[in-house]
Amino acid sequence: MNTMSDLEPSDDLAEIVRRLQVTVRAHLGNNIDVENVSVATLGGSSRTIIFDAVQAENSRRLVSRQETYTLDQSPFLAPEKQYKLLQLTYKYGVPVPEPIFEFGDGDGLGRGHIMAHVNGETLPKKLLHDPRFAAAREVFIDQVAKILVQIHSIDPAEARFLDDSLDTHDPLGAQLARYDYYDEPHPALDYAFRWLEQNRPDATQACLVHGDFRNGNMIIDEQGINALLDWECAHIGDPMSDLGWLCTRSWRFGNNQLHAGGFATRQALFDAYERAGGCPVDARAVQWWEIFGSLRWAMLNIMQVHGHLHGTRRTPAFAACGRNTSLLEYDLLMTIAGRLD
Amino acid sequence: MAHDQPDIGELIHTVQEFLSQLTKKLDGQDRYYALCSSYLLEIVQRELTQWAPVETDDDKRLRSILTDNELPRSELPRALSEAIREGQFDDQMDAMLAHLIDHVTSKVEVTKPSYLVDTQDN
Repeated sequence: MNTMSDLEPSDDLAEIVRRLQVTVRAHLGNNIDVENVSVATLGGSSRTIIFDAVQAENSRRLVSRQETYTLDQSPFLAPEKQYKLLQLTYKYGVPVPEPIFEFGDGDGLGRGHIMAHVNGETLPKKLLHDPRFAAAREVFIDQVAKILVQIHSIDPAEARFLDDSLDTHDPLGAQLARYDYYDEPHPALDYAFRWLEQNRPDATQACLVHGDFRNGNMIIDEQGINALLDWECAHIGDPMSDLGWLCTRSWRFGNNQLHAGGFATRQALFDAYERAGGCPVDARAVQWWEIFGSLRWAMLNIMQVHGHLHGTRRTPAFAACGRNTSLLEYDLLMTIAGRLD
Repeated sequence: MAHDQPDIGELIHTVQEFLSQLTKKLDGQDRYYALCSSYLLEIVQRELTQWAPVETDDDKRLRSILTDNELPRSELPRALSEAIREGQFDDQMDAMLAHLIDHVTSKVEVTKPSYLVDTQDN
C-alpha cells in the first residue's frame, strides 16, 4: 500500500487533479478548491495544467508544471533548479511568473512546481502578424533589451547551482557530448562543429544567461511582454549567446529580414541592448552564436527523434523533428557561406 | 533513400501507429477508409523493404568526396563525419562547405522543398 511518502506520480488526469487539490490545500489553505482545470498541450518533457485556486469570493489562476519524462544526457535543468531560477529572477524584477511553491515527495505529483498564471499569447506567428499585437510589436525590442540586461546584470554568484551545468563549463563541448550520445552522424554538423571551434570568439564576461530567449518563450499581450518562460536551459555564459539565439534563423518564423525574433533588425537589437545599459555588443560573436544556435536546434531535433526511436515516447511530431534537422543544417551551412544573413 | 533518422521504414511505421490509434475512435466510412489507408501503408512498407536500396546521386557525391568506392552506402555519412572531425579536410574547408551545401540541399529537397524557395528570398 502506498503511503504519502512514496506516492508514485499518476498519468490519470482525474487523479492528478485530486492530488493537486490536496497539495494546494496543504500549501495555500484548507478551504481552497481547484476548479476550471485545463491541460495545456505544450512541452515535450513536462505537463502543464492551468487551474483556478478558489477560496470563498477570491480566485487565482495558477499553473502546475510537472516533469513527465527524463531524458538521458538531457540538455534541460532539473525542475528544482528551474524553480530556484524563477525565485531568483522574480526577486530582481525580471518579468517571470511568480513562483508559488514546489511539489514535495509526498504530493504524488513528481518533480515540479506551482506558479502564477500570466495572461497573453505565446504563438510566434500570431505575435508577428495579428493586428491585435501591433502596439506590442512597437515596444518589443526595447522590452527585450531591458529584460536581457536585467538577467545579465544578476550576480552569477547568486546562481552557483548552475556551476555544474555542462553548458556553463563549455557550451560547444556540451553540444558535442549530446551529439556523440545520440550517435546519428551528420557530416554537415561535424563541419559546423569544426568551423565553430576554429572561429570561436574570445571569451567575454560570464553572466547569468536565459539560454532559450526567443519568440515562443514569452507571454505577450496587447501592451507588450508580460512574462519570460522556460528557464530549463539557463546557465552561466557569454551574454552575446542570448542575443545570438534570439536572432537564430528558426526564431524569425519567416520574417527573415527581421533577425531578432522576426520583430526587428539585428542592429535595432544591438542598439537597444546598449541603450538599456548592456555591455558593448560584439557583432561577430553574436553571429557565431547564431550559427551555434542552428547547430543547437539541430541537436534538439536529433534528441527528439532519438527519444522517438529509442525511448518510450513516440509521436509523429518527434519523427518530423528528426527529418527537420536537414533544414537547420541548410541554415547553418548557408550562413557560414555568407549566402544567408 | 535518405540516411537521416527516422529512415523511410520508420516514417511509415510512425504514421501506421498513429493511424491505428485513430482508427479505434472512428466509425462508418471514416473507419473503413482509415483501415484501407493502413493496408496501403503496409504495401508501401513491403515494397520498399523487398527492393534493394538504390544508390542515390547524393550517395555518389559523398563517395566521391571520400574517394571510396568500397564502402556500403549506409556507412557513407559516418565515414565523412569522422574524416571531417579528424581534420582531414581542414585544408579545404571552403571546398567542403560547397560540397556539403549540395548534400544538405538534396536532403531538404526531400524533406521540405519549399524551404529552399523561401530562403532564396533571404
